[in-house]
Amino acid sequence: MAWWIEFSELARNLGLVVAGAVGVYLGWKRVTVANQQAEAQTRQAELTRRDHVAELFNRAVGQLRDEKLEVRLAAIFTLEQICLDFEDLSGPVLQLLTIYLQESPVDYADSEPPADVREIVRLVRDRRGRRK
Amino acid sequence: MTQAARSETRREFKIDLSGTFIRRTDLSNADLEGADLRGADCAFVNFRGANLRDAMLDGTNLKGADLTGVRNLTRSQIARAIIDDRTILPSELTE
Repeated sequence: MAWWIEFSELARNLGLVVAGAVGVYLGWKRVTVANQQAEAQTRQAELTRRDHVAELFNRAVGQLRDEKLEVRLAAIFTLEQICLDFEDLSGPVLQLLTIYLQESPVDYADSEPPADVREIVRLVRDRRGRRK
Repeated sequence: MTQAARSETRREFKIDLSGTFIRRTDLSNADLEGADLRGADCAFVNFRGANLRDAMLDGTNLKGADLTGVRNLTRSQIARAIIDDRTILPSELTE
């Protein structure tokens, strides 16, 4: 009878160990799947954001040629925000703005610079400067 | 794009302001290393404290520009630019 009790205890303990191991495995699998889903969602969100930025960028480029100063300024501020949010795009954005200065020169003689010229130069200064 | 690649992109980018008309603007403390300012009209521009290392200044109008405290500016760069008696040159020019 005693051997039977020992055997059943051993079987129970073994069962508990196996059940625990299965539980740990299932928990690990669940965490892994959740992590993969979270990463996929993050990637998707980043792609959606980039699409949105591309749209903003294209619209701003079109607005740079607008005859109204306030529309051009809005375009410059939008491009500045893109520079701040996506550092890897700051080079192309600055290049675009300096090309705008080259292609649309405004001879304001000795007067104060127009607001759009001033803002573009400020962008050049702030994005490339302050690093001593 | 990795952070390192982004930093690399930023570092490689050179400002091209050649031929622009940017009189009386403020470029103080700007990092203009390697910038192309050839033929630009920079009259009365505030360049105080800017870094002009290897900046191309051929034919750049610097009349009345304030170059106080400009860093890494050489005599040969100045020799190729257009200056007048109103241009404020830095106290020290490198060779």
